[in-house]
Amino acid sequence: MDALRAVQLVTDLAYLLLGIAAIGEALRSHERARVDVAILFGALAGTVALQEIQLLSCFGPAGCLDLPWSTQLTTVLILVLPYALLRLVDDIADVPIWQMRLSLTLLVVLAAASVISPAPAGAWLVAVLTAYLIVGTAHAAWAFARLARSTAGITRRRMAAVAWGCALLAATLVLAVLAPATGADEFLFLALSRLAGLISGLSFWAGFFPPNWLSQTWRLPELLGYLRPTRLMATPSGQPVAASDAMAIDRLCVATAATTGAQRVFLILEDAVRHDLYLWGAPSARMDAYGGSIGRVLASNGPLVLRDVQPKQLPPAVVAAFGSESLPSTALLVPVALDGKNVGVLAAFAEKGPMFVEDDLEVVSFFAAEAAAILRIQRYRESVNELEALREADRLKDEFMAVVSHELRTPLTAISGYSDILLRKLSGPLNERQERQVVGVRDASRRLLALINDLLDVSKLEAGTLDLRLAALDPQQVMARSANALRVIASSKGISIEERQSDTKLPPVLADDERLQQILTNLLTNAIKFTPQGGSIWLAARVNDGPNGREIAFLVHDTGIGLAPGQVTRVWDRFYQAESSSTRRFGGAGLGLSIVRRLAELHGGRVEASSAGIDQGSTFTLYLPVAVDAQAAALPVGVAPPPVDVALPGGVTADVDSDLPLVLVVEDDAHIATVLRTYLEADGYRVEHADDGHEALQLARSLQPFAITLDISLPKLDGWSVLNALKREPATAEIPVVIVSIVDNRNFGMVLGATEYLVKPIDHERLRTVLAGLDGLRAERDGSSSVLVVDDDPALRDVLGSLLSEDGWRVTTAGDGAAALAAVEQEKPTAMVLDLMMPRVDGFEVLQTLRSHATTRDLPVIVVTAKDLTDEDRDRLARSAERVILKQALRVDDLRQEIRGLLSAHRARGNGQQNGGAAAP
Amino acid sequence: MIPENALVLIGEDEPDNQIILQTVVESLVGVRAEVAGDGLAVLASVGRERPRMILLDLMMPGLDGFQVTRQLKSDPATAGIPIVAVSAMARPDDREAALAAGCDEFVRKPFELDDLEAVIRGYLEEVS
Repeated sequence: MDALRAVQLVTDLAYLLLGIAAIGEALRSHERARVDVAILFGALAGTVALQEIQLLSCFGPAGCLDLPWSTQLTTVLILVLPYALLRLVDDIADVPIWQMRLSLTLLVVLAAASVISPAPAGAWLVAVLTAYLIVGTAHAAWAFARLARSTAGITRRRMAAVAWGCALLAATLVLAVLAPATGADEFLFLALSRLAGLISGLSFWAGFFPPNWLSQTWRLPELLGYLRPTRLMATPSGQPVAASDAMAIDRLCVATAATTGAQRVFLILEDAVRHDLYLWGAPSARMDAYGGSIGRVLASNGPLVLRDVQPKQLPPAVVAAFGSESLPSTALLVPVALDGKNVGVLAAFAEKGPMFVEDDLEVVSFFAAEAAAILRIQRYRESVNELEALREADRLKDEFMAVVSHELRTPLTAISGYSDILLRKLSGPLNERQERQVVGVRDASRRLLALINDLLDVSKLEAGTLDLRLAALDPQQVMARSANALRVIASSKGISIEERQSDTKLPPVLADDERLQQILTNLLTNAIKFTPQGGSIWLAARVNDGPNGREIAFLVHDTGIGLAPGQVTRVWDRFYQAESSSTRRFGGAGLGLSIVRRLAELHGGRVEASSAGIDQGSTFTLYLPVAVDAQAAALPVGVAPPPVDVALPGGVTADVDSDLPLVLVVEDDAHIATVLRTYLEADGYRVEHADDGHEALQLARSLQPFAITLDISLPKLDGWSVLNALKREPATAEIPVVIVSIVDNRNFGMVLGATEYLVKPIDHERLRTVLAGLDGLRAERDGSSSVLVVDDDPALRDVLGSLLSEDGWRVTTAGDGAAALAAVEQEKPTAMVLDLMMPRVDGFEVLQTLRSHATTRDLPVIVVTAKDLTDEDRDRLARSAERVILKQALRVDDLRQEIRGLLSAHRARGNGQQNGGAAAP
Repeated sequence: MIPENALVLIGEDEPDNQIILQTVVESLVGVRAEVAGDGLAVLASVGRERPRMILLDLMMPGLDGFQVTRQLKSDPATAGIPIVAVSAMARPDDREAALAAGCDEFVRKPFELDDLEAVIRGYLEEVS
């Protein structure tokens, strides 16, 4: 009996604690559900308390206490249990009103009966009481089990625990009632009853007051289900990015619903432009922004729980999404914050017992943060796309400007050319009046040309396609050249240009020679334009300590119309003219000075205008950085190829391997770099390796590799930038670049100028094919490979020859077999295109001769013939020619492809033998 | 000294510009000029009589100036003929592309007659 008593003590203690906890919760919040929980556990605690007081009092000095009314009180308290449970069920899901009434009536009637009837109660009353208790708790267990099944996630687990609690409570009662009737097994039944009671208590505790660790554990499966694929999946390949964003949000909503058991979860976003709200996935469903509960959440910083949700509290679009379903009773609204600002609300709608909301609020908050993360990525991507689109638009504009400029220049060439011819009297004498008029034509065409040039520059400056070739320049020299160029024009207006020499030797300035000339010319032209007849202009250069270190200041001073104080800064604006009337007086589109400013800025310099006032002359100053040695060395754009460049292709180095084409592998992952190196070296290439973008650019310039494989994710400078830089620089623009990356954005790569785009994992076969294809290109570029075209038909010879030479091959031709053999001897071609039917020595004989000599045995030959081949012919050709193409089926691209392929195969073979085969010197 | 019978080949498709270039060559420089209206005609003309130099427009129908240049410069027999690109393509890249293709010099349209005359004289004197 001691063990039983121990279990009973623990059980009773558990129920006492549950009761105290429940009453404490109810006192704190006054919510109906909590009050109901408090009633339930208060009643249970009351019964066990009464029982324990009686039992424990027996150990006291006064002997066993016999509390008056204790039996009746216990009975009433126990009778409260089924009703309290039913009320709890009702809190979470509606219970038919008749059930509530029936339960209450039974409670009152039975309580009254047990109070009125003398103790000990009659057997019938005990039976009815017990039956009511068992039916009531069992019903509650069934109701909670049903609720658990209708929901999900942690709520489901908590409901299930409560259902178990109810079921075990019923079992406790059944076992306790049955125990006395079982005689010998009474002990077992009582023990089971107590155990059931204990577990029931624990279940209630877990269901209604789960500790933190338990909540976490219960929440975990759904969260993991969401998180795992999200973190591992990245963007599914082949999915458009926007679609994958939509998928991510959809998954998030589904996961939120699964974890909380909500019926519907919506992401409602704010439209900053239209100042309203819309449903994710249904942008057309607009909502009023700042009224209603959603607006309240947006404006506040915390989540909001709405109970007894009414349609009028919600935007119509949300209500409409439920269709004919009834609106769930509870809404959990959590703000989605992006960069400290609420941009939306994650709204979960559920049938919820208030007891269970706190858990869910935490879950929804977690998902709201996830939603913010997805939105942030999406925004970032959009901004990148936007930038790309803008760049593309600028590039197109630049291209358009180039075309327009070309189309304008062509007739302008005729206009200025003809007027020059006339003025030079090359078409005979002009009278004075005619000459004046032609001078007018010529000057007009020059003005037009200047304008076109300015527009082209503006367009390039805007598109950012104007590249500077920076070099260290002597300021005095640059100045002198500009002044000399404009002296004639100035003197025709009676204006003098004076160069003021600096007392000391000036340090070199870091600038693009041509552009610096342009700046100074523009400033001087401007000065000439606004200086009246007989005025004077001087220009000077001096060292200045600027905000960013030492700089050279170029000053252009004139005695012209000057500037009003308000014009000093505005004069650099595009289309700005000092006064509208000046447009007529002085002409020009107002582009010159704005170009000067932009060019100066592009150099890392600045401009300044100053004037003592109207008609007091003005001074325009250009500040450019001084060329420090280190700066000159670290120039981003190579000015002239370094001497090493000249030495390398000349083949001065004695290294045997240097005959092999060099591939520059740009890859930051050492492992992948090794894989690439292994593949490439196996295919007969030399390999150099660059770890990051900067190194890649440097090596590309200095090594001039045959091809580059380029990774996209690189430290310091990413692959896109490297590709862009390579293609912009003339010294490296021709080097084919094969992107080998895990980033799958083929279109972007090809647009930037990549030759081929391979997605990792690396496919050796693919890589080999791609590089073999480039081999042909290489031959085109270095011009060392020649093709001998042998055909007796001069027309076909010409066609083939010009096609191949257009492809970049050096082409020699021969009209018959004998000439062909002589040409092979002399030219040592890399490949041969051979006709079969020729006078005197025919193609078969040529092949036979070639194959019987050691030096020409390996010469790749493509037979192009119109002959109907017999089986015997085919047999002979199969042994001696690499490929036979029928003239009827000849396609230019095939021929090109064949020759490239043959050449690379041939090189790979010759490489194995180390004898170079037919490689031309 | 410039040999009197020197031939300057003009590859240019615009009739007006043909006349202007021809005038510069014949009237200002004082040597013979032959005009070819497209790339193929240039090649054909080079085959008939080797010119002392070629003034070549880059944008021409059919075979363009780049192709013509590459063709001529890749053939040892014609590689020595100086080619001066005369083009309305105005970007620095265009100049570079022309030089890369093998042109010896690039003159941007529109040009001053004097400038072009000086360029032509330079080449003719160089070869003589």
